[in-house]
Amino acid sequence: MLYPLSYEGRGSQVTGPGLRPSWSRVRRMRAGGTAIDHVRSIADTEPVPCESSELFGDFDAYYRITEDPVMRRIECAVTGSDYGASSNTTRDEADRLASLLGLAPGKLLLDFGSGAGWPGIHLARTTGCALVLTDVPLEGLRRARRRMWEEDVSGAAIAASAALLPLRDAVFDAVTSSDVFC
Amino acid sequence: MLRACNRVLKPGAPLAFYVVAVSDGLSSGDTARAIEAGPPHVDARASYRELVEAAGFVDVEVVDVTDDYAATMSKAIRMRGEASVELGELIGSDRYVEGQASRRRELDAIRGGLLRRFLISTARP
Repeated sequence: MLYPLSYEGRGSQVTGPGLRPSWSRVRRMRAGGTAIDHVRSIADTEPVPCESSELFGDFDAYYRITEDPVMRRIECAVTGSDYGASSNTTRDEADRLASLLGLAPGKLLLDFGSGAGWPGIHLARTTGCALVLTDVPLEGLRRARRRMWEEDVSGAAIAASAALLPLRDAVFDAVTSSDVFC
Repeated sequence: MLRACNRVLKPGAPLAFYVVAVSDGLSSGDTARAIEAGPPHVDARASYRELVEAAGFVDVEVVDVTDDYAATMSKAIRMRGEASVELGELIGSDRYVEGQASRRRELDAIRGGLLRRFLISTARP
């Protein structure tokens, strides 16, 4: 199941808070031929209900709570993140990923099970790489999309199961996740 | 998931991830206790090195970061304890108490050797 949320390039306009991408923007992006252009082009799919997202109602409630100042204060103190993250990954551990993955401008990173974007957005912001986030809970992806825009990070946030990544073969320069695998 | 990661990576490109896992070599009772205390996705079907290699990856390196996991969990419990009044108002006292108890069970399982956390790095051939 694919449930595209947004496709926003560095310096471009936000498509809006709704779940449907701007079809005119998608058509413009399809003219490109790079890997990131191709990843963006999969947004040219009519949004469909993501059945498994119904199983994540608790996550949606969780993400709403994480915006409270006390939750942000605790998260910052514990991991150094302020993304509303549920993983145990600290800032030092995130920076270790950047080194292991060889992230740099021009590279394309996939962070699956991304939640609200920690540590994927941090990695993209600090290294200059482009980013694709995937997860099922929509509330986290909405926050991630907003944060990508605020941090001027190039990339996409897609609602999709990690086991059925709706992405073309051999397009990513690196893949990561934090406390997701089973 | 690992096979999907392999498919979307360019040849030679890296995968690196953190994961919580049940310790190897536990009795069935301790394995059940680890799964009960651990995060929702934790499982004990096979070692992650084996899973990663079975998905077609090479040059697998596994670093044990369990001490950091314990330190992070301990700090989370302490910070939430210091904000108990605010959290009780935000999420309700019952849910706050339940959450703290769950984190303490997880920390006990980490310190008791039932749960571990790894940084796994590898690459597509």
